[in-house]
Amino acid sequence: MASKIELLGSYKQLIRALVKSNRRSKIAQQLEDNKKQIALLTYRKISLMRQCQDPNPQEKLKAMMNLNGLNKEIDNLKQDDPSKSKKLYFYEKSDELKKMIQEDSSVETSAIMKKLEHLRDIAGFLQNQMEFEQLVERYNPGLKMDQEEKVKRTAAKVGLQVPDN
Amino acid sequence: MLRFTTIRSLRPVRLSSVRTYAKAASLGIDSTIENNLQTETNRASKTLQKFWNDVSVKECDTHLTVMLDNKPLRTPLGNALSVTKDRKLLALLLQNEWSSMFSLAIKPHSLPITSIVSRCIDLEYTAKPGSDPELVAKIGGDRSLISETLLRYLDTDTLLCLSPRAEFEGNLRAAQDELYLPVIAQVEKFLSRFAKDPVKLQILDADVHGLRGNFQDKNTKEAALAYLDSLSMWDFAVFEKAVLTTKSFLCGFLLLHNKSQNPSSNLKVTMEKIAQFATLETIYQVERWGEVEDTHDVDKRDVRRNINAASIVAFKE
Repeated sequence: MASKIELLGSYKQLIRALVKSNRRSKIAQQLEDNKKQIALLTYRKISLMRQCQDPNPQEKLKAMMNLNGLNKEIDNLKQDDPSKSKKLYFYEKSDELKKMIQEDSSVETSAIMKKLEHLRDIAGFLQNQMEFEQLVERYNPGLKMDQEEKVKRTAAKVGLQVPDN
Repeated sequence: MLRFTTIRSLRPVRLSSVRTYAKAASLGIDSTIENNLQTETNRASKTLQKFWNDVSVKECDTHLTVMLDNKPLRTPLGNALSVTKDRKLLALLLQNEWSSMFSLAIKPHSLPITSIVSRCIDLEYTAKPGSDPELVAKIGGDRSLISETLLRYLDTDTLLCLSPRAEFEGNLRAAQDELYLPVIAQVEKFLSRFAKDPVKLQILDADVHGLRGNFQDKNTKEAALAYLDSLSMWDFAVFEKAVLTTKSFLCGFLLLHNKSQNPSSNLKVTMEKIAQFATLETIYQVERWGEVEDTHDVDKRDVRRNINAASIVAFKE
């Protein structure tokens, strides 16, 4: 019985580690998704604007209405801050994980101890992996920079400026 | 260059600005550029782009396979990245590794578990009789060659080279005596099962031997080789990773033994302890001289994540 409680404890610990280590990538993925969505909506907006030139007043009105809706949607997406999303506090596969940990938990203490150890190893791995990635990124800021930014900084180093357009 | 990844195809072509944290290249990794096998791992390394939306695990009778958009994820040699059903948590972690990736670019150091598992699968594949000798050479899959290289780590094992007593007021040596000597005695006892004569590991004591190389005798080497031969190919690949990370044959042995079916209670250690064994001297140096940024802090995590990853891959229900 005591070992069951311990298993549950390390399950919770594991979930916490998973949530924490996935946080950054989830935010990045959401931002990327938003960017794509905005690009798509902007494209639709341009075609709608073309429809606004329609001589038929009814069509024109409809297009205007749609345009307003689109603008609102784009603004919402631009203001969306994924780091505040509630989704970040959950691990999607927690049920599956719980089942995996609890199923066929044999009565043998040695087997349970080994499993506990395994769960601890996983939590340790996730923790160290996350910290490692953060450190590498901190010490190598160029890694995450996009090409445009790199060119800009290289130019700035020799006193030049990339023309903006 | 981050050369310690075992996915040879995820060579960090554009990451040359990252400095080397661990110098040991995994054994037998194809470092040539002309590697055009169409596998997911290769594609990710060449285009450095995320090209899938959905990662799932497909279950069949005996195996769990990681799928990217309904296509199996493949190792550098083109085998499906799948694990047996007694490694459910491993499959879950593989899935997590691929689904929690940054979408911008894939970095080889972000996939440690995938790289070990790929190595395991590819080594198992090339070890089958009648496999293409070219493929074997490509990933350095010749088991006897790998064994030979790994045996060299036993000569100058981290756990077998003891510091002089004059250093750190004798504190380091005291810690080494306390931590290493019992392990050495137990390993000697264990390895003796594989030899005719009792195994005696040669220790390099800096006070007695000064500066010179260290070599194990023939009996020890034969016993160690017999132990290596007794490992399954999967465990062998994990062992390789552990030895290359810790620079210690004994640490690799400890890791694998603790994840085996019936570990003996005398050899029981946690993974954190193994990491401490492997970096004991650094721990004392940091204490005395302070932590060097971008070196000690990164190394500390690197050793631990690799040891933990190896132990996760080794575990079997």
